[in-house]
Amino acid sequence: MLFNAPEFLLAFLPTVVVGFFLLARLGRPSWAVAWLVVASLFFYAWWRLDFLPLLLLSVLFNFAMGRLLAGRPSRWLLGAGIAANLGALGWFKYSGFLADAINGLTGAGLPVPQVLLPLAISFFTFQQIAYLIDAHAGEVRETSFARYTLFVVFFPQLIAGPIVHHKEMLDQFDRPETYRPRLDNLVLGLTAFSIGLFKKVFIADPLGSQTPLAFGPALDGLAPGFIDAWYGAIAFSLQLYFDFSGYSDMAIGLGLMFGIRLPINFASPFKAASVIEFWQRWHMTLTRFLTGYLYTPLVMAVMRRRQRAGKPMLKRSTPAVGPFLSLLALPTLITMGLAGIWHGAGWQFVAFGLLHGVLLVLNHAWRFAGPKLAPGLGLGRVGHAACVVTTFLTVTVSLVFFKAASLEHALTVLRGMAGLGGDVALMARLGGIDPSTLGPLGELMMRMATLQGALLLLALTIVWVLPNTPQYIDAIAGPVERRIEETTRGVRGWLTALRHGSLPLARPSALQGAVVGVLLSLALLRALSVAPTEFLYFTF
Amino acid sequence: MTQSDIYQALTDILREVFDDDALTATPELSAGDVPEWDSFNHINIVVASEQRFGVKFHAAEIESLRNVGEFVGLIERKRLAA
Repeated sequence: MLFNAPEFLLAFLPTVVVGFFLLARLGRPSWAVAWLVVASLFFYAWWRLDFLPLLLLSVLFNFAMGRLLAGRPSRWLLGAGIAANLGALGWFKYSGFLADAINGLTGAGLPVPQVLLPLAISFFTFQQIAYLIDAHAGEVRETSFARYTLFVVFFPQLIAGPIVHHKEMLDQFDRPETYRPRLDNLVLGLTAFSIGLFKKVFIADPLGSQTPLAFGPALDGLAPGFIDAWYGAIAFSLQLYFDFSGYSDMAIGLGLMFGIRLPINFASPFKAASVIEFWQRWHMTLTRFLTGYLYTPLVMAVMRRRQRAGKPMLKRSTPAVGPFLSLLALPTLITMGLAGIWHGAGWQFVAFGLLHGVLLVLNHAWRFAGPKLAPGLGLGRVGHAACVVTTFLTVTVSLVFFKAASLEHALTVLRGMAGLGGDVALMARLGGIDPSTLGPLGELMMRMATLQGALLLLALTIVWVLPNTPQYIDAIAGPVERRIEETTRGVRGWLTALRHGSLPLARPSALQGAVVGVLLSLALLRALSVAPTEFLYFTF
Repeated sequence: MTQSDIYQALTDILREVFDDDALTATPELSAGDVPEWDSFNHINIVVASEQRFGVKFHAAEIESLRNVGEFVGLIERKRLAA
């Protein structure tokens, strides 16, 4: 079921929320947990029933593995568990790609398997590998199968994240407060959900209709013109951000309705002033996973080995090429190469990952050398703005690989962005005016004067000027500390504490309520009147 | 080694990693306060601390640290257990 589909919005969600709190009140919290598990499996199976056994098998296998590892840690068993998970992911996601690659390199003529990608497999595989590693390290211990299943299949985060840790979820499901409905959780949850839905149906989807300017004719090997290429590529960057961050907002909002705080996935990534900062703000739970379970162990191992051998470390004061390559460059390239291929089976995704690996390495190198080579560069307001715009355009170039159907497709679009294209006649689209008489600037002006051009500018303004959804939610809720403090003040505070427990309700202002109400009404009207479109990350 | 010795030693490590003599390790100091405190320098600090304090950390332990105070707490627990 899609978050933007009528059957989800009007039937599934209200039923599950009411049922959850009702069962917790009439019965026990464990009934409410069981209800959420059943509802989440129904949510998953609504799509395609035939992938449900795989999901259940994966949950069962990893639950059993986790119990074994928590009881008696064994590196061998952990390795087998991880291998089994990666093996399943590899078969469903990469077998066709691998067979193709081997055939291409050796001419072996292997049969290329046609395997359908089970929904959410990349997400639930990663989440459970992290669980096995944590269980092996003695960080988690789970004895209830229902609770473990909920950690994996909880429907707000099952399909496309945020990727969560077992501990951060189950600690919340252990608290008795979670099972008592709170008006402010429902209100804040609905707010995040409304903003996310609005982003999806009013910004991401219409921007998506602009991307063919760059990517459409390029499928047939025709490179777009300079303005078309950049316009379409920027439209895609913005579409992807509004689509995926909209989805994450909706997931976070849904979690909040059940009193569960899911981790933030986006913190205004296009406000980043460097590629390093971009990855600290973009798909943050994936970055957290890759850093925690791949990059950090890798770098720590290399660093400790160098330390034992008495080799020099990499310090700001004494930068050197050798340590830079082995301690920083190589682990970064490995991590980002794998991050690329995680997104999809194809050379364009490998290129996307490696390009970001190279960019991160250059960024790190600049952090060592920059202050000495060009002191003061990028400082001040203008310098910072220039860094932000450059980072955005660099990311836009890299996302061409992400969007493209193949490496060749990506290179054709990039040829256009380099100003070497223009194979496509523009006449018809520009209302019969010959673009060669306009010049690039004139063409850009014409493009921006359309409704779609205005939307693109609006989207850019939103990402560069407005706060992001988590910031907005925090602003409405007000600091928790202040709300707790209010309960300790005088008779009124005492009365509040009596009514609402230790944490009084957050009280949004009438204006905030009105704004969210308008957003939700518009978004619902649109979501219910057009056929729901899939989220871009559902294909991963 | 007292708690203030640990803070003193961490101050030295931070100054060396970031090449900035104005830095002082305090309980509230966190990665958000130092612009160049990225995941690489985080590991740099941790591995330097392993050597300095004679302890060993898991990757999972150091990911969840929120500030220097929590790190010092972890170092103290590890030293007691060792």
